[in-house]
Amino acid sequence: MIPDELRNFPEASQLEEQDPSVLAGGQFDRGELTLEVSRAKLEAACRWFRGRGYNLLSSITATDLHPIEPRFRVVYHLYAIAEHKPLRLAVRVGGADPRLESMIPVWPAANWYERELFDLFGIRFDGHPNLKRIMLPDDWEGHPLRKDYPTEGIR
Amino acid sequence: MASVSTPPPGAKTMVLNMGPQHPSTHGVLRLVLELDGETVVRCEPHIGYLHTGIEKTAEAKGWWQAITLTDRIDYLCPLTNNLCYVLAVEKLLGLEPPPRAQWLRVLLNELTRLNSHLVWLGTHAMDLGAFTVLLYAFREREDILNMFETVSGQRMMTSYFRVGGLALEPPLDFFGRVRKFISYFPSKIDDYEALLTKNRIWIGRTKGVGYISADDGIALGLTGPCLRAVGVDWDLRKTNPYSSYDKFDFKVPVRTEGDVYARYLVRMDEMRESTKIIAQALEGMPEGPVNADAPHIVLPERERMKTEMEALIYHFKIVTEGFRVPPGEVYQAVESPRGQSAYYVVSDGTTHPFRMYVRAPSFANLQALPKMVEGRLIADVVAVVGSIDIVLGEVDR
Amino acid sequence: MTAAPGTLLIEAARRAGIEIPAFCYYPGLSLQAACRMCLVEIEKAPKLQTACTVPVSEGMVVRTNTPKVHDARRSMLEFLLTNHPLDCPVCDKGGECELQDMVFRYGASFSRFREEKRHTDEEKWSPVVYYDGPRCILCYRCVRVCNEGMDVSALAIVNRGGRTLIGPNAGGHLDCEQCGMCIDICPVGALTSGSYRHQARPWELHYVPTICTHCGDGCKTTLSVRNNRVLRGNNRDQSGINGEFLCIKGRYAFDFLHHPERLTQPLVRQEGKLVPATWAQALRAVAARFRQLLEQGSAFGIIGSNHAGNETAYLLQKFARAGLRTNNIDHHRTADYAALIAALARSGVRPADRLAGSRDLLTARAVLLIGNNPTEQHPLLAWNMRTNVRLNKGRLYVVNHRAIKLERQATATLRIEEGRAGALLDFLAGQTTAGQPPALQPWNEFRDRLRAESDLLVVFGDEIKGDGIARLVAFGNTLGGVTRYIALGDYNNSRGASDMGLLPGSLPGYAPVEDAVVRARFEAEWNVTLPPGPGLALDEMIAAAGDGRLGALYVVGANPLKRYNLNAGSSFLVVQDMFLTETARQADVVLPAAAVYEVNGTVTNTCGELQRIRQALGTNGPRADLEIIGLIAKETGISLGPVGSEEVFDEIRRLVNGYNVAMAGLAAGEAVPTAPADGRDASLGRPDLVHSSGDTLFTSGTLGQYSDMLEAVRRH
Repeated sequence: MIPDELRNFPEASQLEEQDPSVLAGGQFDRGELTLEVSRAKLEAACRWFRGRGYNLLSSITATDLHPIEPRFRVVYHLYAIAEHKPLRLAVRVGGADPRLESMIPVWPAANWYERELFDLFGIRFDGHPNLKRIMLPDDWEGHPLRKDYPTEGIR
Repeated sequence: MASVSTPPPGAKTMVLNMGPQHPSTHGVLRLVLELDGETVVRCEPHIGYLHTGIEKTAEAKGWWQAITLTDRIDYLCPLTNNLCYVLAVEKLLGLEPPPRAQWLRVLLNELTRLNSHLVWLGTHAMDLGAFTVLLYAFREREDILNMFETVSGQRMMTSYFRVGGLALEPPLDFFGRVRKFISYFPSKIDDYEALLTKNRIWIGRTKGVGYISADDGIALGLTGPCLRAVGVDWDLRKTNPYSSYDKFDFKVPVRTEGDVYARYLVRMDEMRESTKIIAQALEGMPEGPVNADAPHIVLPERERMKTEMEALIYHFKIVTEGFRVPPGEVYQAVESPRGQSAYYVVSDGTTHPFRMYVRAPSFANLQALPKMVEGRLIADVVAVVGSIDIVLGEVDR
Repeated sequence: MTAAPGTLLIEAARRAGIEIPAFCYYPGLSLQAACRMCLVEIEKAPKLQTACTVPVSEGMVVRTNTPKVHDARRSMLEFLLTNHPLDCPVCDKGGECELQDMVFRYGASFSRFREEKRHTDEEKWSPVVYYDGPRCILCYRCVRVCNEGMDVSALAIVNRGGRTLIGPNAGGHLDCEQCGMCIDICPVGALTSGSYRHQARPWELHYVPTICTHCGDGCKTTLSVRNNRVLRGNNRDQSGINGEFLCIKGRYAFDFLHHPERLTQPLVRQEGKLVPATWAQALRAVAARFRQLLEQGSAFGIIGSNHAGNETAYLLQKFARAGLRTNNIDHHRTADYAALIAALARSGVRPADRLAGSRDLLTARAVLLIGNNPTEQHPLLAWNMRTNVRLNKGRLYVVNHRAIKLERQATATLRIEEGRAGALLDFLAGQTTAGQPPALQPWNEFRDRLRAESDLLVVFGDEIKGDGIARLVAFGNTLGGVTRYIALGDYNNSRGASDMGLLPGSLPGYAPVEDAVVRARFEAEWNVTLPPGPGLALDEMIAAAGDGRLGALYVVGANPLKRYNLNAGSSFLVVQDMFLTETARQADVVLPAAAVYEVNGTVTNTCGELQRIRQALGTNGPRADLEIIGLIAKETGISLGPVGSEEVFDEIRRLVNGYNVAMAGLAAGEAVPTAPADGRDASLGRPDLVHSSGDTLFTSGTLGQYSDMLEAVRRH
């Protein structure tokens, strides 16, 4: 379900027509289009947009909203090179056992981004061939970009 | 631990560790190479040696304090980082800097592009044996660093841009120095090309080496000169212009061969185009203030602060408490010398960024490295790594 | 929106969450309308009106956010800034300055002023008050709070027009109570603190709200701490029972914490001299001697503190009674709380219903003050009494043998001779006594006026104690309505010390030691048999220590040898204190103790209000009293159970009459009334031991001697 003001955006309205359960909301703010994707339909949404020309996965990152649940807001920044159009997809993941499906099959570039999110946020990606820490040493404990991890670190 | 599978007993491959300390990895990069003789069977980059928690630190800094952190991310083009971050915050605030500030930002960004490409050229060439090019490139780079020092007091970590404009009006002799520089710099590019472009050894080491197709590149997130070298005509300065880039006339060099040699040519042409942009910037530099009219965000000029009561109070409040940014999120992308550099900034309405994520082009470009080198000789690894032009600071953050 | 008739527009707006800026308007002080910041548009009024002087009226339509109002605010600030010096970098107020905040919010960002600013030099008016004329924005808050709130009138407006300044009352100096109210009420840095000057910025400080360690009023003082040093005290959050009030001691007299003579290591007497020792050595020395004396069956004496918190007092008496098996426990009693509670119980009421809280003084219709000089000894209670008269039309009646400043607010004052309070009380109760004074008329008039009052609140000092209290309550019962009482005790935990049973005849909560049922309750909890008879009082202990009848005398946070002489007896004297006081100098072992500001716990003010104290800084060397008592007990082989302040308070809540309070309020920093229930008189009839120290604003018992600021002001 998308809010009325987004019905002018073909990216949103076409997907909504095809399957209204994919998008859970969205907004157009400061010149940028954000579409909130429902958790169950993440892969469907990604494949749909990949098919519509969003061939570049610019980045995947997340924000920790602790203590608000669902805790993590994972954002996929896409770019359609031919049309020079950026797009943001956002999905919420709960903090108890945060996991998403890996989007490597859609964009191989997702590989290292998902490892980074696993490393710094503790979000698991099912189907990832090599889900190991990427920035921090393998035996590090904790996920530093979480809000309950102190800025000065733990000694 | 290397997760490259250990070859079964009796196999002909050997696992070799390249880095993290290695003159040709251009930083602390560790490549675990599985070799069959001299042929690379598998290449697995290990990063994180330069991870300093910049994104976490930024959450503890005020919006204006985080600018100094951005220099250190891609330390070969600090002003580009400054620009990207500051543009993101300005977008969140709905603040537009005045024309003079925008043109100066363009001028300095192009100088930064030259600065970065000179480092790339010098180190890449030196990796392949052309030591002279390093000395030449760094000689010109000195002039650029001196200009940065003139304008911001710092050679490298300039932190010169501010939310709303620039820190200071450039000193009077700055434009003269830039003019003088671009008067002789194109001939220097000619000098570098004279040493390399038709050089048999250079061609032998770079032609046909490290090819990756456009589709594979895009799928792996490759951007910048590497992608333009394989036929994708995409430059953010043209397609999604920012900071008045749409007012400048320049070409975007594109080639189709997609190998190390093509990337070299693309960047050499980019240097020439940048010089043209700088000349146009000097020519048409608008007059006016270098900061937006936003007294609750932009610090008053120092002389005013020392003589006017109101200015002193505003200065005090902005420095000690800072300014708030209305809640929201922004993904601001710019064309850095390495590709698409973007800052994803989230505000919760307070004086500190709630989240600052840096999309580093080198992070994605490095993901494409294995595809470029697998099946090729180990000597080519050096050439390819140099041609991607990675900066570990932004890979690891 | 709706508001009660008579509400000022600015108050009504603020209560509804609508911002109307103001400098000179200050709740509780007279209206000034000088600053003109609160100008608003009122429909049907041709010009902008000051919201601070306009009461709400039916149907009134007010606009606070129009361009005209914004322009007015900007212009007012522009005027204020014309002569304001560019002092922000060196002005203490920077970062907490109302002018800075208002200019940044409502003012222009540029200046049109091109003239020269008027300059006068900064002046030092007293050790604690500095005045910088150019910074003053002439809101007159300081003048009003000094006149109306403090009734001191040390500040006045001098000159007029563009040359107006604030001036002190004694030729360039301030001859006043040095309370510092003017400094904290000043919205800018015109009046600054002499002790805090040029030391820190407000955002580098760590703020700890705790209870003042001096008089018995229990004011909350927020200590500003940086790097484990207290730099200043104020009540910036105004959340305590004292609201916006704080006196010189709460503000400035914390510097004893860092006095060079502060004891930092234990001392042990060797060959006649006190030499430094380690904690292990000192504790072993004490414990060894205590064990020896216990085996010999010798007597012990314990003297407790008026300052240290309830947990310390409770644990000390538990150590004495359950550990050393003695009721020889006492402290310097400054008010006869035990007699008051007993007298109330005997007259058939719940004592809790007849004991008033400090804020009751603000609203009581009539207050009778007998003896004491609250202006000096209980500044908050004096402030409440003055404010009651000034704003709530309360009536104050004063009885005293000397003139006190509060008489200025009194509806009627009765001067009596020293020692005649008891006779007066009998007279007021309607009894004829032998030896009535010849001039009876003033006494008659006074009694008539009191009899016309209902719901009288009686506040009394140490002039009334022992039997006198019974006569006071008898008098109170003859009046109409509900008569309530406040006994004035000197120090921050005088009431707590008494409530916690630092008395030879009573267990905690005024439960008599002789009552087997009462003893059984504590015996069950402590798992011991308790001594059944009352012990020695303070003077008896000193005498017994002097002639060797006491094996050991353990003094915690008290200085009895300032007043009493101790013959060089054979008693083992252990003193636990912050400084080398007169008592400590004669000790065999001296143990350095932490101050009230350096520990967590609770204290009870003289009105019986229980509040939390919070540790503001750590100590390097001294230890908390609780910890030391626990260590001595452990070394001596006595088990006292857990000795953390929270665990001890838990036990207090369970066992002490009236201390079973709800934790939520206490934890949130509120003052919670305690309600002592047991009414039997356990005071053993030694009213002669009840005497106030008679402190002034610039003295605070032994502790005050170590505050350089108090000493400086005293000499000023």
